[in-house]
Amino acid sequence: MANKGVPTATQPAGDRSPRTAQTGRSLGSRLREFAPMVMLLLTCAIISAFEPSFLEWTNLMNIAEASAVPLVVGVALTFVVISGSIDLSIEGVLALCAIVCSLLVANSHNGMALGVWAVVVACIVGAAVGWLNGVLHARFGIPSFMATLGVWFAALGLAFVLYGGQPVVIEDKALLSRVTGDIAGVPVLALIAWTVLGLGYYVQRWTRLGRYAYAIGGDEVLAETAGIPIRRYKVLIFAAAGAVLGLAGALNVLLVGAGDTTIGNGELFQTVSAVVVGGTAITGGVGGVLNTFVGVLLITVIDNGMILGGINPLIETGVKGAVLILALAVSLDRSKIAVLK
Amino acid sequence: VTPGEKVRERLPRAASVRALNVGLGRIQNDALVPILGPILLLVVFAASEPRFLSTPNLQNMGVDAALLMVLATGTTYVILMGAIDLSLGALFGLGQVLVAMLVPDVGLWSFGVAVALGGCAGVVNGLVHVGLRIPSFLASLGMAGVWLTVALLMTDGTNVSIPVDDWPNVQWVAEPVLGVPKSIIVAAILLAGAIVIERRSTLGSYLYAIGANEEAARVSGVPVERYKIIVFGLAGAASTGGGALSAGTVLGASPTSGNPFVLIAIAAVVVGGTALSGGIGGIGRTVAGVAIITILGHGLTYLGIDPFAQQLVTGALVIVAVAATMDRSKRFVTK
Repeated sequence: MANKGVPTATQPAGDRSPRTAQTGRSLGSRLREFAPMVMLLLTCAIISAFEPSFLEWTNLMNIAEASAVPLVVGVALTFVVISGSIDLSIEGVLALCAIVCSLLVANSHNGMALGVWAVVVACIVGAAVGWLNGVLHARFGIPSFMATLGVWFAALGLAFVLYGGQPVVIEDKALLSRVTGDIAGVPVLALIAWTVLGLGYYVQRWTRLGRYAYAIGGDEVLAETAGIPIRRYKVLIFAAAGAVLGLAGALNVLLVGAGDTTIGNGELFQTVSAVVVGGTAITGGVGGVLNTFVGVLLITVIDNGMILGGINPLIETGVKGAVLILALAVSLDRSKIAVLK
Repeated sequence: VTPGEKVRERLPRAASVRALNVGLGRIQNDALVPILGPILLLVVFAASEPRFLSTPNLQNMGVDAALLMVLATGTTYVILMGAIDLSLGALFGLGQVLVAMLVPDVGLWSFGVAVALGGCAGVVNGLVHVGLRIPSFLASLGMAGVWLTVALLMTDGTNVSIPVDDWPNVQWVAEPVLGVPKSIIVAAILLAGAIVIERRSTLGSYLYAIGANEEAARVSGVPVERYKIIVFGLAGAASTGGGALSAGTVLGASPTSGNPFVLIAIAAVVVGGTALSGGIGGIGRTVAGVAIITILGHGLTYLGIDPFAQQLVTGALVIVAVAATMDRSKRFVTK
C-alpha cells in the first residue's frame, strides 16, 4: 500500500491503521467467499451422519440429476444478477419454452416431430422473451423486477393459449430415453448441465459480455462513463439468459415427459435462493456461476436430506424462503443500496 | 455541494409533489385515462355483447371488483411508499385457509382472526424488509414462501371445503342488502376509510413523503422505518381480508388460490396511475384501476378468452402502465 497512514480523500484522517483495517476486511471477505462451500460440506456431513445412504453412488447421482435443471436456470439468472438486475419471469419463460418444445417434438396434440430441433426452437423463443425483458428494462427504463414480473405473466398467458388446457404428452421415446439415460453411470441431464456451467464460466471469465456484466453490476454509472454501451449489453445479457432458460424449459419437459404450464412452479424461488446462497450479491458485481453451482447443490442437498429424513415435504417452500432471507441478510452489501425500496 | 444542500434542494420538490396530489390538483390530463378507461371499455363490451350490462353480470363484476378493491387498497399504500409487496398471494391463500379451518369452531370471528393474523404477518414482512435491510420485493418474495408453507401445513397440502353446517357463518358476504351484496358494502366502507386515512391522517401525508423522497422525509423527522412497518401490516391485513371474503364465495380454501392476485392487484394500482416509483397517485386512482381490470377481465371472458390466457393481457397492461407513470427523474440507475 503506497499511502501508508496518510489520509486521503477516501480515507478518514482518524483512521490510523489503514493496513490492519485492510487486512481485516480481506480476511472477512475471504471467509465470506468460502462460507457457502463450508455450509455445503457441513450440510452434507450432518445429513450423512444421520442417513449413511446419503453418500451412496445412486443417491449422489440422484442429487446430480435433481440439480441439473436448477443449475441451468441458475447459470442464466447469475448473469442477470451480476449485472445488477433481476429476472422474475423465470417461471413464465420455463412454462412457455416447455410447451413450445413439447408441441414441436412428436406429441399427443399435433403431427410435429422436429426431434432435437425443438430444443433449439425453445432456446430461440426463450432468447426472444429475454430480449423483450432487456428492452423493457434497459430502453424503457422500467425497473427490471417490474418489467420481468409483467413478462412472467404475459409468457404464462401465452403458454396457456398454446397448450389449450390439456397436458402435451411427449411421444418421442428415443429423445426421452436419451435425455433421461446415463453415460458411464452419470445422468445425461447432469452432463448437459455441467456443460452449460462450463460454458457459463467461459463467458463470465473470458468474454466481453461476462466482463461487462461485472462492470455494469459493480457501478452502472461508472461503467457508462468508461464507455461501455450498458443498454446494449443489458439487453444482450437478458437475451442470453432467456436462451439458457429456454434450454432449461426444454430439458425440464423432456425429464417430466409432458408439457404443462405449471412446469416452472417454484423455480423462481428456488433459483433466486440458490444464486444468493451461493454468494452472488443481489446488488450486482460480485459472484459467478461457480458460486451458483455451490448454491444449487446446497439447496438440492437440503431437499434430498429432507426426503431421506422423512421430513414433511410441505415445509420445503418455507425452508427455501427462510434460507433466502437469511442469505440476503448476511450477504447484502448495504453500502450499495442508497435508499431501501 | 454538501449533503445538506442536496437535501434542501430536494425538499421543495417533495412538497410540490405532495401539493400536486392534494385537493383540486388531483384532476389533471394524466388522470383522464383512469376516468375514461372504464367507461370506454364498458361501451365497447356492451356494444359487442348486450348481455354484458345485464343485472346478474353487473352484480358479478361488482363482487369481483369489491374483492380486488380490498386487495388493491393495501397494495396502493405500499406502492405509494415506493415499496412493493409480493407476499399478497400467499397471504390471500392464508386468509382463505384461516376462515375455512376456524369457522367450525369460532364462527364469524374467523374473519376477525384472519385479518388480525394477516396484519401480524404483514408486520413481520415489514420487519424483515426494514430490520434486515432487504429490498422489499425480495423480502416479501422470501416471506411469501414462509406464509404459503404456514397455509399448506394448516390444510396438510390439500384443498379444504367448509362444512355445510357452517355455511350460514360465511355466506353473509354474498347476502344482498337492498340488492347489493355485503362484500361490496365491506369494500366500500374500507375504501372510504382508506381515503380518509390517505388525505386526512399523518400516515397519509407520510406515505407521500416517504414515496416522493425517502431521504428528505427522514431528515425532516419522519420515522420512516416505523411507518413502513405499519403500512406493510395494513397491506397484510388487506391481503388476508381479501382471502377471507373470497372463502365466503367459494365456500372452501386452497393455499395456492392467491397466486394470480399478486399481478392483478399490482395491475389495478399501476393502471390506475399510481407510479411504481412512489409518491404519486392514490386510492382514488386505484378505484379506476380496479374498474378497468374488472371490466376488462369480464369482457374478455365474454369474448371467450380463457381467464388464464388473460394473464397475457394483464401482464402487458402492467408493463405499459408502469412505463407511462414512472418518474424517471428520480433514479438515474434503474435496477
